[in-house]
Amino acid sequence: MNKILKLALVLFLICAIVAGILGVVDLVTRDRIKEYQTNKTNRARAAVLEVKVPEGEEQYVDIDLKALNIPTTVTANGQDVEILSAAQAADASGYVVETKFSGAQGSIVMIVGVSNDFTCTGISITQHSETPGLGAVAAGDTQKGRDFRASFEGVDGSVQLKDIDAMSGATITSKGVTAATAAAIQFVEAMVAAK
Amino acid sequence: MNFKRQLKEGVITNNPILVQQLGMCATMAITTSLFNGLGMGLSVLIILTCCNVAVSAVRKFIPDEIRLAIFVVIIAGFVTIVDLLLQAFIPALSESLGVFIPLIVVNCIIIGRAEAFCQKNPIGPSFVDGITQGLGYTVVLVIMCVIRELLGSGRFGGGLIDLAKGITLDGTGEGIQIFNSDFGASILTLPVGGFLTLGFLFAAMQAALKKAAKKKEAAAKNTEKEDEAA
Amino acid sequence: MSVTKYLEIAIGAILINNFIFSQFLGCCPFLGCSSKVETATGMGLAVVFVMGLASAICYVVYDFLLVPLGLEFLKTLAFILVIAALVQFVEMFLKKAVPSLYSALGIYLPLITTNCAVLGVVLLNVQNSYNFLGSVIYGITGGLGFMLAIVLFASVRERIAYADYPECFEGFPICLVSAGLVALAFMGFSGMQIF
Repeated sequence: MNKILKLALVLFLICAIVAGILGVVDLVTRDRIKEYQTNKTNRARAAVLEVKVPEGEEQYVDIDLKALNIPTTVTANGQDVEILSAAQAADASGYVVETKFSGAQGSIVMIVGVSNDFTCTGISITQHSETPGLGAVAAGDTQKGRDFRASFEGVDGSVQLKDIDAMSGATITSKGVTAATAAAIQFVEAMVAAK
Repeated sequence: MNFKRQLKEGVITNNPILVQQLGMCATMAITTSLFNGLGMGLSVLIILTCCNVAVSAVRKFIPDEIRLAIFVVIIAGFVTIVDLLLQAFIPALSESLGVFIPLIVVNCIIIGRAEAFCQKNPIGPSFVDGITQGLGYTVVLVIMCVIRELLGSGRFGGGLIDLAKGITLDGTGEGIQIFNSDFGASILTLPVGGFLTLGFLFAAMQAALKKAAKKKEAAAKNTEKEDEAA
Repeated sequence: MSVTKYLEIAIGAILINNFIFSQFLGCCPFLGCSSKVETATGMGLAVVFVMGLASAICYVVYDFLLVPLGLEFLKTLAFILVIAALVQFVEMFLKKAVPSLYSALGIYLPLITTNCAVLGVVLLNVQNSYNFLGSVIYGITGGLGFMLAIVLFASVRERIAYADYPECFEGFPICLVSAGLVALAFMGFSGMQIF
């Protein structure tokens, strides 16, 4: 019994030392990691809807979805799209909506910019697990991806797959992105109507 | 401690992936771009070397019954350090490799080397062993990445090299387009491609090793005959 | 989370994002333990059990111990220790309860500790922020996906012995190529929408 206790103590001691070292590393890196994460969402939002406010001020004002009393799951083009968050531009030039929908390989999280006359100002995919070279092109920084995303600018809530420049070999992803864009615009329409 | 011999062993004759057949999960999963491959390879090299040195340093003090548990704790420690540092300083690589960075903990190569080599050898050879085995691992990863990317989309150096920006550490490098991606076998960039490419690499390695073994046998037979004749 | 969400997790784990053929988690035992269908089934069941239980325990450890104390960076260390202890208990349990399975699995049982799928699923649970039920479902169905893959492949492998291939492909290479072809078949499930 004594031996087992001694072994357990040694193991616990080593774990404690390692955990201590990790704590130090975490302290050093924690702020940087947090900064990167918040910058990522803000950069995605800025990519879809430019907001002109003085330097240092809040660019987007988050909207409390629960207080709105409208459904946060929109069905567009036969596909269910979940609205994760919505924010209004601080200079009232439009809205940014965070959507979640099914892609070819799991869920995709995408931010859609919606102007005040309910057209799309841009899309930006922030999270996905799509196949590299196929669905992932929609999120990537290649010419193909940029062209795909650009074809959504100016569309309204009734956009269909045939209206945009779909990616060959990634129909499911293209369909999902189309549905989510339509859903985001429809959601903003409902939100403005409910106010 | 013969560095040249250990280097040849690590990269060719005792290659962790192609000969010891360890650590294949990550090899097939993330080798879709040079950025991923080099990033993963170098991460494993650093973690492997650090763990080798650490295990070798404490090998005389740890009780034998719980040595595997202690190895795992040490490895988990270094993996978390590298994970946190990557998240903070090269976040594009951290996102690209995803869950495979913390999964380096269960990469059989690291625990295999700790068990087979480091607990019996002093710090110096363990350090060299970490570097050579890590190099062997990185070389295979890079070969797989280059094959899959080149034949799959006609690109070289995706995510890392950009003709306009040089070397990009934020994963946005377009790579050098060798031929139009429409002519590539894009199936190689899918999971299927991972299995197939690794399978062919294994076959090539086995063929090469068999040839080398046959040569050695023939040479040995020749010297035997010469001895008899003499 | 609704029932359809859980169903989506389940079917995703087994078919669409199969742990082996899509995510490459668990390849080492997949290639090492799949020479006979009986061994493969036994291994698969053991992995299902470990994955489900590990998901449950690690969720509790993460949500009730690490997060409140701000120690999320210790998750890799904590999870691998939990898994190692769990496998040890499963080993002792099998030795007493089902000794035939214990001897059949042999060295592969302690190797479940280093199975990427087990650590992978608990890490993915955290990454996808599933709740308790979602984590356990993902753990169990991920294991079922692993089992499906390993049993299917064992049947394929039993026939490889009669195939005619170049000598240099003997052993691992031909297994990898065959696994690739099965992975190709599984691609047919991508983009499947649940209801």
